[in-house]
Amino acid sequence: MKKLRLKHQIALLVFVLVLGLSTIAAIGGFGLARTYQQVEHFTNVINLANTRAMVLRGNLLNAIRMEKNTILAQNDADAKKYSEKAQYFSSEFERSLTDLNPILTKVGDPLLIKELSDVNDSWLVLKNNQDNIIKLMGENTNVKAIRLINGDLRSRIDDIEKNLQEMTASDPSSSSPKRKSGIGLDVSKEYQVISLKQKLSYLLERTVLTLLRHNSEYDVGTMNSYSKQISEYMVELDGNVEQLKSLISLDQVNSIRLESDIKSIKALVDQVIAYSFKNSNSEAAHLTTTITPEYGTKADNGIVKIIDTLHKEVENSSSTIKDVYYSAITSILISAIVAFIVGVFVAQRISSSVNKGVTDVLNLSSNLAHSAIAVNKISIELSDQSEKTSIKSAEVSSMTDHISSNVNTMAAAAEQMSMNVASISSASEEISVNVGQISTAAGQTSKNVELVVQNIATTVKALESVADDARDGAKISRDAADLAQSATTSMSALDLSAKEVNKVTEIIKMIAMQTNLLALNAMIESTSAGEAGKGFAVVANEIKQLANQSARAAEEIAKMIEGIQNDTRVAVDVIGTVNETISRINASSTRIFEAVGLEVTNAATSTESLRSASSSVSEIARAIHEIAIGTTDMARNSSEVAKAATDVSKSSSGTAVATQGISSNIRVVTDAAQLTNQSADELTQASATLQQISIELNESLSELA
Amino acid sequence: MSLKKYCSFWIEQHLFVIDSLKVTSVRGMGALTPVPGSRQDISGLLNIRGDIYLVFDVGMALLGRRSTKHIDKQLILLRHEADEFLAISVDLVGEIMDVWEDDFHPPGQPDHPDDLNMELPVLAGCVSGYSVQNNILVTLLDPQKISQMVSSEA
Repeated sequence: MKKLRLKHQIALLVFVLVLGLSTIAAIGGFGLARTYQQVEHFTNVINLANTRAMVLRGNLLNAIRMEKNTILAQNDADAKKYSEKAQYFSSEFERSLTDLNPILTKVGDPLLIKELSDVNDSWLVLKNNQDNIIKLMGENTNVKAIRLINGDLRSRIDDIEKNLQEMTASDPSSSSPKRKSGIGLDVSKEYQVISLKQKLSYLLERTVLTLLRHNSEYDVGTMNSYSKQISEYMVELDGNVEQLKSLISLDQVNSIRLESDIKSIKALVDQVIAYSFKNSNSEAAHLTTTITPEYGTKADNGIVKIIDTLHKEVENSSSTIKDVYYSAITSILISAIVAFIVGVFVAQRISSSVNKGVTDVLNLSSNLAHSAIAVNKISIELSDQSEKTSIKSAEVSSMTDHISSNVNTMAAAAEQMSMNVASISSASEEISVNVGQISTAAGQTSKNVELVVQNIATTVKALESVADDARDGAKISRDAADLAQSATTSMSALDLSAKEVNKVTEIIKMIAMQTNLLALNAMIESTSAGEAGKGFAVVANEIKQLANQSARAAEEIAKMIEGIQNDTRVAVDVIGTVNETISRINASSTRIFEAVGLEVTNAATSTESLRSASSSVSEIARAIHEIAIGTTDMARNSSEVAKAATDVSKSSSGTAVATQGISSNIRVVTDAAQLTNQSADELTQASATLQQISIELNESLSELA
Repeated sequence: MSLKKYCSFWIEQHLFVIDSLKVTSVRGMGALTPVPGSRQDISGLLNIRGDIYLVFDVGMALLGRRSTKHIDKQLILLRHEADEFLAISVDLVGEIMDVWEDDFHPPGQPDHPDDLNMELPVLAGCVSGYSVQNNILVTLLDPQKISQMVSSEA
């Protein structure tokens, strides 16, 4: 991180944040995909299977009901209608069974498949049974037998009785001189005829009853005994008819008619017995009360087991969906926290890097100031040296005027001096050039420092603006947090009040229920009291109605309270979330404000230091410029000294003292020049240092940029 | 034929009635004392004003399963003979209904095409008859037969 530039560091931070967000989105998407899979499995498979199983059960029960109604139908039209419905529901059941099989396979529980297979096996028996029942009901022999008994047979019996009555009334023996009876027969004969007629009616009636019993019987042995009984009745009937015919004289027509009637009765009785023996209705009723309940209950129990298993699957799916959902939420939260921590860490590093850069700039500025002070000292020394050099040069000048005319030996020394001074001059010129360069560099450094100061000032303004915004934001956050807190307090109070009202409502419902029971008991007691309790029953009824009204009102209140409580809980959750968010914003704003404040202070300090460094550098530049000028003058003066020395050389006169003085003065000048040279070297070094500092400052500032 | 009063009650979605004259009172379920080792349709014993009532889960006996429709069941105390104190537990006690006596048909001749009870042979033990009132099938139970059912299989 130290070696990366600031813009790279910021790019890294952005990359980390984007990566974190992408991770959160990926985890959230994965979690949602899993939840969707579970919901889809639940909706498309388990829920569908549950619905189909319940439809299957409904079809089974309807098919059984219609089968029973077919048997219990009062007429053929109803029987046909119910049998068609039974067949319809049977085919619907089979279709539902076929639809359910692949869905249960998808659920994946082998027990369910086995149960469905058992249901199918039971259904096969039921279906076969149903087909038999419908076929038997189609034959409808027992009903036909009853119809014959109640229809043709009864009317035939009535005809016989009527005919017999007519026959015995028109008997020709009525002209006999013997005592006449109402029917023209003697008493004993009349008695016999009446007795025979009664016996005939009795036999016919017994025959009808026995036929009915025969028809309703299922056991073949019992039916055979009834058939035998009926045969005996028929034989007895024949005997009676013969006796009757012998007692009353019938003409041929009546005789034939009577025989025909008896014959037709016998034929009807035989037909009824034949129908009864077929016993299709009894057989169907027997099948529906034995096989149908047994296998119907088996199939129904099997379907109920399937439904119960699917209900358990629903519960499992529900809990699985919840688990997946919570795990997705947990993953997202963990990822968010990790991304947040990494982002904070990276931001922290960038912040420390920026701070370090600013610190470096401050250090560089400090070094720059020290360098400027050193350069200043050097320049003062140079100035002193230059003054000394000037004074000495003036002395040299006056001395040479004195000895100008007379020194020969001075010529060589003067020549030598001329050469040395010439070299001093060139060196001074060189110094002058170097110092000029230093001055230029110092001036440039000053300008650069000014630029840095300006940039820092701009940054400070921006930071101050940010600090103001952060302060305002913190204030707003605190106000919002206070409002949220007061809202939460109000919601909690509302929830408490709702709970209290709910308790009271429960008490009211309990009282209503108890009142209802009391009213019922009052009604029961009034019933026991009989007539005397009628008034009491009315009062009890009124109490019951009142109790019902109270219960209904309490129910409605409870529903309203529940709605309010749900809304309150949602609002409290939302306010809690908002509160947390506001707290986090508040904390961030505070931290930003403090950090910005610190940065502003640091920037102000940096600005101050840089300004002073800038002004120092400017002063250095000026001093160096003056040094350059002084050095140029020195060079010029040295040239003039060289010329004067040359003149002295040409003239060649003078005194030893003056020459020595000159020599010594020239030595002093030389020393001074050497010192100046040294100082110039030191100045050059200082300038180089200053230049290095400027370069480093530039680099730091560009890093900051 | 006369109009009689019947005490009605619900077990799941089925409506049953008992002659009101055979009913002592109705009440909520109190603190039952279970009888370990007893049949599934015997809920337990209940002390009501010194009398120990045997509480019979008629839903379990009639439908072959324990009804889960209501958590808090109710009791119908039947008029006792000699020392037999019998109470039946039901899902919900209904109204006191006025029904003509001859509206009830004996089992095997139902009026209602949606007669679910016909499919369950166990009902025949204590059913006296069926009737259709306001398009709802009403099943008449005989308390004596219920008592016999309790004591015969005990």
